[in-house]
Amino acid sequence: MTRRRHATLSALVLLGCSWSRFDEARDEAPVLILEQPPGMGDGFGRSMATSHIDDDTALFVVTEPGGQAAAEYRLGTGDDPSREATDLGHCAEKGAPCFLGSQVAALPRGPESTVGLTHCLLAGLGRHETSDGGHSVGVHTRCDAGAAQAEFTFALPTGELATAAEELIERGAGDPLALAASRAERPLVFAVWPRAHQAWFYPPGQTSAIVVPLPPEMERDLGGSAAVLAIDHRHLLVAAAKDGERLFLWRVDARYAVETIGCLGGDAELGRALTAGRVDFDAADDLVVSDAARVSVFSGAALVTVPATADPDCTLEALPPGALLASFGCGESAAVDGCSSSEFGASLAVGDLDGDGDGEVAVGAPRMRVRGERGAGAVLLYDVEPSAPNALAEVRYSSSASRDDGLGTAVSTPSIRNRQILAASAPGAGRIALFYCGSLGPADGSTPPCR
Amino acid sequence: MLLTLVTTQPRAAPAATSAEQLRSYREHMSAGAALFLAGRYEEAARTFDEAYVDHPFAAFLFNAGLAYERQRRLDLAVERFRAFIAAAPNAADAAPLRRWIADLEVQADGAEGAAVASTAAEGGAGTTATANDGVANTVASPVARSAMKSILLVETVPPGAPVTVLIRTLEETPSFVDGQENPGWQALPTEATPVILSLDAGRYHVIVGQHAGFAATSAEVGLGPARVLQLLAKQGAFMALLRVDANVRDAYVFLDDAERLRPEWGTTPHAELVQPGRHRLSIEAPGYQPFVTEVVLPEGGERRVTARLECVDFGIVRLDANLRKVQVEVDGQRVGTWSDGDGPLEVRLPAGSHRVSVSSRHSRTLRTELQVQRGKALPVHAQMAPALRRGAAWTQAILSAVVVGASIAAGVESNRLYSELEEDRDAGVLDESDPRLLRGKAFAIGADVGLLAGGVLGVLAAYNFIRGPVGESRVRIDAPVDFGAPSRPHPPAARGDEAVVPRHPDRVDDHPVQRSSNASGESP
Repeated sequence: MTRRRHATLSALVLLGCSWSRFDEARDEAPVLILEQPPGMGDGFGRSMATSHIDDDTALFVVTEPGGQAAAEYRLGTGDDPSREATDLGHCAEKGAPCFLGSQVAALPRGPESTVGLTHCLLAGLGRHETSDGGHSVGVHTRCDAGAAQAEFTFALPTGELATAAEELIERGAGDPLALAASRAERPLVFAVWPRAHQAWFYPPGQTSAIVVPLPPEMERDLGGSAAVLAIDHRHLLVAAAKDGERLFLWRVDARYAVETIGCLGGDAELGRALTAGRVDFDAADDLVVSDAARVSVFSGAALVTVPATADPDCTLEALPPGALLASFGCGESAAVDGCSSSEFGASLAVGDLDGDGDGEVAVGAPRMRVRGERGAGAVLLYDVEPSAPNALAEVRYSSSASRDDGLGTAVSTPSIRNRQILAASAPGAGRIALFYCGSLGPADGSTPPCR
Repeated sequence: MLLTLVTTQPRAAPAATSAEQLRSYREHMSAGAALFLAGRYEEAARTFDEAYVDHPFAAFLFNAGLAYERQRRLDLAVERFRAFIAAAPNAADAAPLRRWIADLEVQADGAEGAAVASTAAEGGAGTTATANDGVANTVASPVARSAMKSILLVETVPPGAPVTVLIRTLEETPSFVDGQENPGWQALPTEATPVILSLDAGRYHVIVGQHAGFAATSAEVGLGPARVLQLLAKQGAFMALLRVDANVRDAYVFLDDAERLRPEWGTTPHAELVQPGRHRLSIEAPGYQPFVTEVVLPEGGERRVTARLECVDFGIVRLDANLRKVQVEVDGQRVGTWSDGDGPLEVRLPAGSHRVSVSSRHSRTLRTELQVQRGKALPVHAQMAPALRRGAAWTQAILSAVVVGASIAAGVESNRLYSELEEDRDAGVLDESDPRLLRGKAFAIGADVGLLAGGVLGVLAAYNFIRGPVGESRVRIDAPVDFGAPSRPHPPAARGDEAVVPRHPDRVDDHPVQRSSNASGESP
């Protein structure tokens, strides 16, 4: 009896110090890490895009604007994504110069003129050698074609732009585009070329561009961020002004006729980041905009109804009541602080992270201090519910946060089956953090990491 | 020269041989015999010849002839043997000796060659020792027996007493009993005292007959080869027979020798004729209390003394060890030091139980209890085990404590990290590359390994503190043995061809037999 008691006591002591529980903790970690592939250079994760089709999700991670390196990851359908990049050839093929944009866009399915192409990344200006020995200049695109990849370009809207792009490419000087796509299998792609003072879009499934008309006051003021909202059969194109105080809006009807709505004025650095998604419960995308201190959510349904105006003052007077769904500032938690220098709003994403049918707003704050680590970065989640539209719901960070990781430099919400997760880049650490769980959900704990 | 020697052979010695003369006889006989037995025949022959010049006893002639025969100097051998027969014509082996002489002569002349010599050499014993010779079986061929002759002197004061010497012809023949039929005993031709006989080794019974009004007396003697034995009967005073026995066989008997200036008088059982009067008798045996008594012997009487020796009330512990040096304590008192190379340390202790402690600087002290028996020596062998190295035990204990302490600290740190990780996991921020996962695992492994190692070290330390890997010192105790006599040599073993009564015939001269009518051994 005494021997058995001793054995039990010894076993308990050993169990108390068992190391296998750390393996279990690692296996159950809700935050998975995608490491930067070797040789990609600095700025890994400055921008991200995601595409989802047929339960297959791709996450595109690119480096600095103007750079030439991107990585494609397959997240799978569960909680065990491939840690290795499946394709490192985006915007990096020999003989096909390409310069990454400040924003990149992903298409779940290739243009209608192609067959079987999926998960396409529109990376930026580039040149593509055609099969007939010639070449084309446009928006460099690379898609998966089964076991291989296919590259082509979306055409530039004008010959002048093509010539200008050709000259830049010849000189090896990249000039970033800002690309945005709507949420659809074949989305509408909106492109802004600030230095060329041009903006255009590609109707869904099309590679031919339609020029967006720019009022004189807009021509020389286009910035480096853009967004596309899908509202019924219409689209709303949004581009930030370079001066950081205005947003330009265009409306595209079902026949892809575009008209200028006008502009919205705001606080400093308005439009430093733009994104679109379903924040409220209607079917229309909503516009999420950040400025130097706040993030605002505008109802897409409301914006699309604003009558066109030529008012150069860019006031918000024409906005209908209820157009501003929410507006929130930086928030802190016990582990995360330093809002004043957090670069709150450096990146934005909308996704249904808690599975409740509406989207949550993910706001990157890459200079947040996490557990005393300056610049470790965090992502703040806002669940814009009618009861508390402006409340901070959750702060996500990496438990291994360290100084200058810059988590939240870019955020994205890849779809995994019927829900979305949060992906946040940390260029300082050269990694992407995939947040599978959190206090927001999913409430049913449907995946293993979410206990 | 030889002729001179032979012709000067006397028929009889002087009436009483002095002690110096007797010593000279024995020295010559012993010197020649030693050389003969060493195979140095030429020197032996020369020594016997020289002895004969000094002391013309026929035995020296025979022994010289025997030595020459061994050298194959047959002519000289024949010459000595002939001289022997001339000097001792009544010798019991005269007839076979003559035949052997004849063979030797043939060999010497070379008429028959080596074959004859071989026949004589090989068959000498058989051809000379025939049943028809009567005593020939006891007077064996010298070739076969290689036996030198001895000298027996039978003397009386006054001389002229009739002497009868009988020889035992068969080994199994019992002792001679006066006045009875004694088959197996045969008389040798003798004359009146003094009588000098050259005899082969054997057992003899000597009877000194009535003479000048004194009663007869007798003695049985055992005679070895090349010995000189004197039997002297001083008639005119009655001698007494003292028989000594004890409950311990071979106990030393000392007579009138309180200072132990002489060898022992005999060993029990012992009987010998001694001068009548008061004597101090001491009987000693190792492990027994000495028995000392005074005995008054009447003239012509016999006295038997039977001693019951009591064991001493102490015993001896004989201790040795497997080390170079150990200290020994008994009942808390230091009794000595034993060193390798010395004999066992002997400690005399009262009979009974004693606590013995054996210690050495680098060994574990041996403590045991010994039962010491009276009059017994107890051989004790200490098997000392190396002393515990407490330094190693302390080192292990300290290491164990340090390791266990570090393990506990590591375990606490591991638990702390795990708690943090659990909190982060519940908060949804735990990432799989968190370094605390590896650190915590390392701490946990370290804690487990450390606890195990610390436990092992602790057990080792405890073991070394309590018991030690080499065990305790042990003791091996042999069966108790009788005391030896380390300070005195053991008496020589009695030989079958030596005299039985008296045990020390050479000392008969020290205790002359008094011719007495009561000297037959009866107690007064």
